[in-house]
Amino acid sequence: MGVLLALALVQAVGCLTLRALAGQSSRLRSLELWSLSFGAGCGILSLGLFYLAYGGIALNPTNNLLLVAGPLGGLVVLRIVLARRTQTLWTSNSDGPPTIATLPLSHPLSALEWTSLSVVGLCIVIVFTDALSQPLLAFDARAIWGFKAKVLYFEQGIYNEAFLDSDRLHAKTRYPQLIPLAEAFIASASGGFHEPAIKLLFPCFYVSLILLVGSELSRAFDRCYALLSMSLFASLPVFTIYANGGAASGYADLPLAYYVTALSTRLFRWLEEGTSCNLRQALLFAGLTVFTKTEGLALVLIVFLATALAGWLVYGRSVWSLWPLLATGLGGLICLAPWFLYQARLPVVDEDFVKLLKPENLAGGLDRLPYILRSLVKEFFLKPHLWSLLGLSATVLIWRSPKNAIRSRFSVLLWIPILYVVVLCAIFLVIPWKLEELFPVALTRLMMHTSPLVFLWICFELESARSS
Amino acid sequence: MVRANFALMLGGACVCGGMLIAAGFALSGSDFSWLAVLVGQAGSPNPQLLDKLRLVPTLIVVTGVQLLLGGAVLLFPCCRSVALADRVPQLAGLQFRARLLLGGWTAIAVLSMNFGAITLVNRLQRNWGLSPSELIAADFGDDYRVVRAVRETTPETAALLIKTQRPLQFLLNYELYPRKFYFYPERHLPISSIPEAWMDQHRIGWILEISDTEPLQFQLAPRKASF
Repeated sequence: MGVLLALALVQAVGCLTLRALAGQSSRLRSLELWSLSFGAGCGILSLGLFYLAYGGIALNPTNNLLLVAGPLGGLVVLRIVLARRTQTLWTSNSDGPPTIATLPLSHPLSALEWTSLSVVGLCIVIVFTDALSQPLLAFDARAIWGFKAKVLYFEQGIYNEAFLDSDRLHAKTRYPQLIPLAEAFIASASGGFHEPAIKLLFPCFYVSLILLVGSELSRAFDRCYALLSMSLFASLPVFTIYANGGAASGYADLPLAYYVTALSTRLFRWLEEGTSCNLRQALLFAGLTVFTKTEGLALVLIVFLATALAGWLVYGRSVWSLWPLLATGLGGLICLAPWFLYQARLPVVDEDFVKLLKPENLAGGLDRLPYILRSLVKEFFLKPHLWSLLGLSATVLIWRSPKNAIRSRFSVLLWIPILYVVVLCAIFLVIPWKLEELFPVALTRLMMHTSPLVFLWICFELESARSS
Repeated sequence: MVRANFALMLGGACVCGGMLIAAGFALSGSDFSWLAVLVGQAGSPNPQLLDKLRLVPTLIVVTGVQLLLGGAVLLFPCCRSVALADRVPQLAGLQFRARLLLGGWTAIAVLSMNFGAITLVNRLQRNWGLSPSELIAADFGDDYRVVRAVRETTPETAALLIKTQRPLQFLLNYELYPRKFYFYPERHLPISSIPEAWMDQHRIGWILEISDTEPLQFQLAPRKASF
């Protein structure tokens, strides 16, 4: 019961924050709101807990409750005030208040649509049952995230030797803490560190990601195409049956994929519509992406770079008109200033990839490139048991019209994964580990981060090709 | 014409379904280590993956049965009635290549969902009645000896020096919390050479040494008795 209450609180905080960010002028569709609320709420609460801990306040149940109650109350008041002002505005404009658009359910679902919804439902049932049926068993889920969560929950703070003593055994000491803090919050709200309850976080991210992809598709396409595509996305084996990184495993890769998708789609929407509410949401998701996993920082930089390039080259915007992008990206990073300051105090046990990325190291690692490229080809094309036909479909579309792939309206959704792969290749050129042991195991999870964007790009391009 | 198409699809579904059922039965009990090499992330078979792959014949049979049932329930009525055949949603406008891709996606989606459901049911059956701690013990396998020994020998407040390169150390760190595990920065230094001052500083009371080579051997001893 406690865990359901905790998840409901997360959803409520996210929902109210997004409504506040959307402001008066913008319409948030209900599907979009549902898809973004859980991730936003989870991230905001984790960030709030981190700020408390950074200020030296113990993360005990009372303080956690106050943390939720304070902003929740404030957001409810803000919501009421905004609603009244908006009502007055509409009354004076003699227009009716905007309704929250939903999936158009005005006519009954066809057999294909029912089947698609059933597939999505079945996938969700499989993932939830899988998560609830056993404790945390995957390696990273216990060794990295679970350990941090236990320390945060039982020691109620971040200034303890488990984090700060370099001789204390601690895997990936400097990894960001969104996931462990969220786990600690769920444990705190549910009255104990119960692993199945904590594991519920990850299927919730999976459902949110499916809804997010569905929301983007339903905005652009007819209901049948959107539902069919959504079901194909939900049934990607890498999410449903992959033991070390899938939606039930307790790894942070799916949440990271969710935040990157949320950020990229907000910025894509900004390119399309130019509304500032998308940038406010992007600022939030940029911060949360960085706070989820180390790769988040690289992903945020890539997403903003790709968006700026798309704005300039594809949408024909002047360079100066892109300044809000820079402000948004910087804003997201500034929100995380306490984390960066704290992270600088943490012991460096593992390699610092950024420092290794030097021209001489890159040149020295070039002999690894054939192996890396072979592994990438294998990952994209020869693992249908993980990726279905995602790689093949993307390649067919690029092959069909290379110019379109580079210059179409949707190309930013493809540029981000391509740039990310380039950065990953560069890192694996300089990494001082035995590549054969590390690369094949890590690659699937790394590819997961941008796979929703590749999927969205395929859907947009296919529909665009069909309609033209 | 529409009915003829559906009749052709029904025939295809029946033949494929029958072949899958036959293949599933033929493969039952086979060695799937070659498949583990193909689909495994590390490129080599591991016991957990092999355990899952034993369910492949069941997956093939279940998919074959679904194909037959799907044909009987969805396609057979369409072969008999023009009205029904016309009501079946057509993905009009999709080119042949797009249809082919969609077909491939659908086939893999069906297979992966079936596999997910079968492995889940199999695991639930096998784990029925086991407590979470028993599930964790089963997951550790033989390595659980270390967990049991540390848990039964040391108090929860213990500080242990751990010496091993095995990734197991991080799982012990999680599983045996709030016990504190420390490692000496120069990992290759013999325990006897580790300065006493460093040990005292971290209040090390126990020493856990785990072999880096197979088979796993370990030694757990109180600090003063050992040194």
